Amino acid sequence: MNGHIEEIVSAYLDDELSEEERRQAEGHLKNCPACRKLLNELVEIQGGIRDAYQHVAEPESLEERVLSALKANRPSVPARSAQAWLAVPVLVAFVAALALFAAIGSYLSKFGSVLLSVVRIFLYAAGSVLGSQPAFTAGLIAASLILMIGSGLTLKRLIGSPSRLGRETS
Amino acid sequence: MDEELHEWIGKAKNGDTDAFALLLRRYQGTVYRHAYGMLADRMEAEDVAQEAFIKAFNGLPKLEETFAFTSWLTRIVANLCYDRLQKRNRSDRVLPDAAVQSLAADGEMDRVQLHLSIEEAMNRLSPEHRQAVILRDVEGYTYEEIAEILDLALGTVKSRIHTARMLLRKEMNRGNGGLP
Repeated sequence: MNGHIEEIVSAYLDDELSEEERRQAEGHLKNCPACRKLLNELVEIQGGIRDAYQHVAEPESLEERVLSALKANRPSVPARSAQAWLAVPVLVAFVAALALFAAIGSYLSKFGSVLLSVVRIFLYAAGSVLGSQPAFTAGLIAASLILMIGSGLTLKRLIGSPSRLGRETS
Repeated sequence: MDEELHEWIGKAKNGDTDAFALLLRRYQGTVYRHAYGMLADRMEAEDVAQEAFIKAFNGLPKLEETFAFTSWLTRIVANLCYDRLQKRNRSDRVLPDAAVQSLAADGEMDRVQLHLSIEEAMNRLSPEHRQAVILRDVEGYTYEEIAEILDLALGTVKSRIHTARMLLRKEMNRGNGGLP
């Protein structure tokens, strides 16, 4: 199609030519049946494409599918804000404990020192009694040993039983 | 871009799903038609349209220019279709069905035949040429807008549209013994 305007017919159809190019194209089309035929065919094709695809309607399910997918992907509570909410009661409890300690701290300290003195006196008395009665002390040690051995054996039996159960079930 | 649309985009950018639902309602037809035009398969077109909207929702916070939303969304669906076509085996090509079914139900068999011919001819084009024709003739974008969406030079867009139409003309003439 040498000398014709085939290369610019599409752009002419789409009104994408410059003013000068458009004038040249229109001048040529008036005198060239071949280029006019090409233009008419392209107009038909363009109309056919528009018509064919404009009849394509989106499925009704599309909107619901997209919205469901968006809801499913959305995190319910951001992790950072959850941690922030958890920090509030911990901080409040810590401050309350500090305030309580400041209020009754002096009484607690007095009570602690009295308790320590009582324990010290009790230990001193027990030592004196055990030292003055050697037979009683030996009996006490023997009874303690028997008690410890008995406890050890019971513990061994208790620890061994779950493994037996495990083997039976498997 | 109208004020209402601008407002919806702004809200959707901040994660408002109700505002995004309004955008979805407005653009679902365009997005689906683009996907169908490229893939010629209703199920695949629906999958791609869904994927495009989810991608758009997740990517919206990063969209700086709200007025560019439409072309940005078109670019998303265009890329998804292109990727899918690259993966698709050529032997898996399916016959057009959506437009044909709706017209056949109306009893317009002549138009059904014409649409079939057009869709079949479209499916014989390369993805690049088909994409250019869909953006121009179905969605009505200017050459400059198409160049921006596809990140191409204006001359390339002009040449692709021209070549695509010449190939379609050839296919239609071969199939029908001439255009109606």
